[in-house]
Amino acid sequence: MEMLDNVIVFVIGTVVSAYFIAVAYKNNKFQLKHKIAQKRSDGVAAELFAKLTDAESKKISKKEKDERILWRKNEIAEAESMQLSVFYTNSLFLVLLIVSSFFIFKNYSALPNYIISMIGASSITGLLSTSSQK
Amino acid sequence: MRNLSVLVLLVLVGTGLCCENPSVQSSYYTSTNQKLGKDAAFIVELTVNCKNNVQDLMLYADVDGVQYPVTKSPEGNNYQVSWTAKNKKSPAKLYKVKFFDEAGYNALKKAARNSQDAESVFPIFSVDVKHTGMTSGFWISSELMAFTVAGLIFYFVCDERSAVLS
Repeated sequence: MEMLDNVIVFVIGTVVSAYFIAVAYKNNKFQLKHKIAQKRSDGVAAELFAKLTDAESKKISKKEKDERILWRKNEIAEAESMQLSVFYTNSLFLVLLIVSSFFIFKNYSALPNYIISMIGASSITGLLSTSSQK
Repeated sequence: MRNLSVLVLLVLVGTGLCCENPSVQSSYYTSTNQKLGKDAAFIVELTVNCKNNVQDLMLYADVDGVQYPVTKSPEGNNYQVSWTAKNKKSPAKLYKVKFFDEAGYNALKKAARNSQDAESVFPIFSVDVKHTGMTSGFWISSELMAFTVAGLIFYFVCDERSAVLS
């Protein structure tokens, strides 16, 4: 497939699959963030208490401590969930893309293979991210 | 007198058909991909120019004791010989392709009949053909390898994710 001859197809394929992948990132991140925040709760509190000296600990109120813990927990959960979400979504997309383009549609010519594989793999990735964990 | 003229005629014809000091330009091709064909294929192309300007030579090629006829293209002094051999019988090595004219070929046949050494018959020229051997490429296809690596990564991420979600 010549790059310049099929530039429109490449642009459309990239934009459409980027949209589905972005949706998948968002959904996966949403699922993971809450769970990560729960799991890191104790650790974050312990870390924060360890940092505070006795004087500081006495000086700030319990409410402020809780706020600090919540803020730190949120920060950690945000970063971790985003990393895991990107890693998971990318690897799922890669597996689906390889399976569809090299195995399922391997006898198709380059252009239909590219379109079906890219849009198919990205939309399935997006679709799978919408499943809710009960 | 008649016998002498016949002899002279025979000598003239004889020298006319015998290629003297041939200058040879050769190119060759040997197949290396076992996936495309199990037998090794060899093609040798030659351009032979004789000093005495002999045209339409009848040439025979001898490779490891097996003789093959050499074809001549209708234009110019271009010749070609090709053969195939089982992969096991044609390992990677330098093959010496010996070329004989009709007299040499007959001498070669005669030597074979009389169980004489074929090396005693000298070719008019020889060409070296380097065969690098047949390979079937890597034993695992690249797409399967890519799939395995991507699958392993995905398995690792799934494991991580399920540990977080549990």
